[in-house]
Amino acid sequence: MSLPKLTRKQKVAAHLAVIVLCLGVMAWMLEFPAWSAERMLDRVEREYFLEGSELLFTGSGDGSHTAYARNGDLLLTIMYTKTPLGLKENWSMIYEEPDGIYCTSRNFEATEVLAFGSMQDAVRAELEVTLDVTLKYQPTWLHETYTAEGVRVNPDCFYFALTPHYEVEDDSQAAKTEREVFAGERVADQSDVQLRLYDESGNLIHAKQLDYVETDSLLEWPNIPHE
Amino acid sequence: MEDFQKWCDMAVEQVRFKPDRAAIRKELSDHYMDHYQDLRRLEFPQELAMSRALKAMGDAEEVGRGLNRAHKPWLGWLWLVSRYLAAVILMITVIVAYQDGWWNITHDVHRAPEGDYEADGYFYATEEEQDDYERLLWKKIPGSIEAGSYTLEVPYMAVWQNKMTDGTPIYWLSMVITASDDRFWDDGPRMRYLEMETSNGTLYKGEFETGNSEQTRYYHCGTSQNPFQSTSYIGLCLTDEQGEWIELRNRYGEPWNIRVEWGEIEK
Repeated sequence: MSLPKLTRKQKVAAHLAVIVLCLGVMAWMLEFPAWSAERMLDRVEREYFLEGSELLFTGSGDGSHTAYARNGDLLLTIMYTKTPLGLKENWSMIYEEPDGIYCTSRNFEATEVLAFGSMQDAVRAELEVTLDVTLKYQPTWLHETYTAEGVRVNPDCFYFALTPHYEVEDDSQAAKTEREVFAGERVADQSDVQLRLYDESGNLIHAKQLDYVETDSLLEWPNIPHE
Repeated sequence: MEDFQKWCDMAVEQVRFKPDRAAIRKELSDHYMDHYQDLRRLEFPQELAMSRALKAMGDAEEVGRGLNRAHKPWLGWLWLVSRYLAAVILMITVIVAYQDGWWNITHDVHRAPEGDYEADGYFYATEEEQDDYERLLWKKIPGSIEAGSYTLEVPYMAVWQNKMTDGTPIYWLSMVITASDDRFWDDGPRMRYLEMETSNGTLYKGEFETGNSEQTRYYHCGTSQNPFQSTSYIGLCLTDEQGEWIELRNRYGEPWNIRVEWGEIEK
């Protein structure tokens, strides 16, 4: 049995039917990806019964991406992947912050911190973190307060990187512990975390006190400009 | 033969859709050769057979114009582009199916048992654990509420009891919430940021909330979906007996709540 010979018009129609079918199947397999970050945010806010959210910026990592958004005093992060048909949401989180600013870190010691949200009025930002390493029945190994100057990533975001206090040659217990903490080999307790925002004249316009900075290794951060 | 080649060149030059020219040339050559072979079989001399066959082909330009009308460039290009596009998209679809695993598509965090939870008594965790619990009461909550673009219903809610080794009773509440809408492409509402308050005054919040103790935490145990409805399975360990009522509230965005009076529920 041979297939009926199709005219060119019929062949075009058959090709288009295959294309539409494949796109439909692919969209279904990819859980109907959104066409843009804005459309993805629309969906996420509908899923949380929200309205009027604003997309702030996005960050990309190794194949995964994060969209950062704001809805009043709520901040949202949406983890997503790019597919041939658009953006596929994988996970989303809401953070309720009375001042509309959320701080997150990649590690438990908060040696690198990203603060985002209502920060447009700030010209300068500072982050202060106290790190403690205390072992049971041992004297305190490390108790240091670090202050990091914020690097402006975009109008809604600052990046902070703590720098070690001790010299590399220093072989005191505190210096060794600090090196271990910054290398991620030892966990330190955070306390007295303070984010300070300043205006053009250097006046403090906002201070945010935290017990600790939340760690979320799933978030992809935006590109940090080099100082 | 040289004359035929020239005739052929002239004819195919009239066809504007160049990708078809080779096929047209072959077809014309086959037609010419068939005629030539027939004449040879009738014992025509070679030269005469060639010239007669060529003459029978007609005017090259006129034939070419006719072929051009039949091989419309726009249709030709559309056919060619659609063919490659279909091949590429088919290939991408296969790759996506292979990578994503269409057989493994799930939206679930932890898929709750399929089937008729009302009859089976949807609980949480394993069947072995369920065996240790006794279902005290359960009910389908009548009615529905409109929340955002969804219609929410609670088709099943139950309280279970177990005893710790020292005999202290512990209670587990399981709840099924369905959300319907006509947006088949959406995942359905997230039930991670709700708030549940019992008449005993205890407030339960989602497991992702910071500063929320394990005792006052509810668990979004999973979601199963069909295109127009998502079903969320929620469980929580009650700090005390179920009390008189429990109220389920949305914490962020559009406010909505579902209140269940336990007194109405048949045991």
